Amino acid sequence: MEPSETRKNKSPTATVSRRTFLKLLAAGVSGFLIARLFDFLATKTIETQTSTVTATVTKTVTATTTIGPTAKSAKVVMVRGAPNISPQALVDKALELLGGVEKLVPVGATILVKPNVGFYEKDAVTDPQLTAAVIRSLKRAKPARIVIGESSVRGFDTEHALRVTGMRGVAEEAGAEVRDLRKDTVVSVDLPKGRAITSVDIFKTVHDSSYIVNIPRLKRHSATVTTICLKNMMGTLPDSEKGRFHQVNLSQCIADLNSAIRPNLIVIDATRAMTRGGPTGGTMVDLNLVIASLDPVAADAVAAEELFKAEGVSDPHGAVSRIEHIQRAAELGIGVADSSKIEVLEVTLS
Amino acid sequence: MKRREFLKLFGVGVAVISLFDVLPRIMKGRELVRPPGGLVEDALNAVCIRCARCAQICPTGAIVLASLSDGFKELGTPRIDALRGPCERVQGRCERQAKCAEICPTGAILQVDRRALKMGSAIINADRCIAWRGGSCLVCHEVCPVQGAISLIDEARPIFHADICVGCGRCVYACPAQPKALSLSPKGERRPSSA
Repeated sequence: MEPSETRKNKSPTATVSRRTFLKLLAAGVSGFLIARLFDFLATKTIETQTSTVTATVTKTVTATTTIGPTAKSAKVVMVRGAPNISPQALVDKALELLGGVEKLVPVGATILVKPNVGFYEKDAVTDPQLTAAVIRSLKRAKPARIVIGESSVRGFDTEHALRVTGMRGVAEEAGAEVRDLRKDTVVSVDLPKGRAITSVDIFKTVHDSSYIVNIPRLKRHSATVTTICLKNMMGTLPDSEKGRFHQVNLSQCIADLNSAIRPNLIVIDATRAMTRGGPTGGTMVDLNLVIASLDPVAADAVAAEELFKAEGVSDPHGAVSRIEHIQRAAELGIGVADSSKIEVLEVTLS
Repeated sequence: MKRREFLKLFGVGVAVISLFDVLPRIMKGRELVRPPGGLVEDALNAVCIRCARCAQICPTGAIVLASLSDGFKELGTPRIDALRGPCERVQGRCERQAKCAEICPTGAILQVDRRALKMGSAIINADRCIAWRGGSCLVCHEVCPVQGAISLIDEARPIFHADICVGCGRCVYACPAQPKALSLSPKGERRPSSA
């Protein structure tokens, strides 16, 4: 057979022999696969590394824990001190005016103290000395245990925040156990009153506590106007839930969360408050003030007004009524935002 | 066209496309954000021995190793992946010393002045941003350790200043939008040329 005839029988592309074609195909595909495999392996190793660090397991789904009666009126105490007055003196006076810790806290309570240690910046977190003062006072109520729990803002390592702000050392010395909640397991809690969300995952330590003491620092906040005790409760949630709050409706979610996990006692650190520019890197104002209440909504409303006054806002009262999460919380019956129904007891120590 | 011929053509096509897709990508490499004090690109790729110690010691897990799709020359060298964690050289556990630079055995990552740090910059995609879409967020502003890198319009929407941003990636990591509204780019980076 002549070579020309051979060519005739084949198509123009058939200059590639079967063997060459298969080689080409195999080379192409394997090149492609190897590239993908590298990517896959790289991600895989990192994933296993990170998962060991942040692993939290949802254990149980529990029924609702709606706490506290629907408040009709509220009492808030404000204790101011001359510059030489210690945090302990301010805290002791505030708790005394609320009725005394022995009466407030049931004997044998498992107490969770929730300061704000969301950041590495000292001005942006609750004063450790004030936290220690609260712990020392709480011990007089003979609780079964006092745990300090925090899950810092996403992007901040809680363990480092606890150490660098001095919180861990001071709180442990005062007699509390300090826990990085990110290492805790999570529990799903129903929010029957919730308007934006119907359930939330919270850390088990928080869920299992019989008495929650919320010690926020008084600060302005770029997204929620203020961050006081209602907003501070976000530190009881894993990062995924914090993220969801922002995606859904931050203010309503904060109210929804507090409707089920309502702090029992609020002691606001307004010794140094952060005004404009908060929640980090804002302007600091020395107030040497402690605000305490059993009503988280009233505490936030009164404290927010003090913050606006310190800032020189023209209508501080009106400004409070425009803080959405405080108003949403009042609507859910978590507490009282209406200042005419809040009894404010103010004393100055000198 | 016969079945066999069609299959041959198809096979060649796939092979050619795979090569054209993967090869240039591998050879050219991606623009990577490097650890703080990472040498300029060519020097880093030459000096780095791909020992992965920097990735192991990084306290936030932000340092990962470049894969083949990041480039052939870059394969195995360290890069910052802000989705895994922020770089804490500017604020946090590496404030005193960059742990990656400390452990690097060849000087591919150098200890540079924290105040002169510029690893890149965060870039916002406003279409994905919760605040720009009318929601309540500003987590980026909340977590940013660099004064003035993020400013707010009407106290509600974030604006990123690439010249002030140092590219630590904390905002990228913290951004709660899904998909993320923020990404980290080496744009504006300043890197040492040699030891």
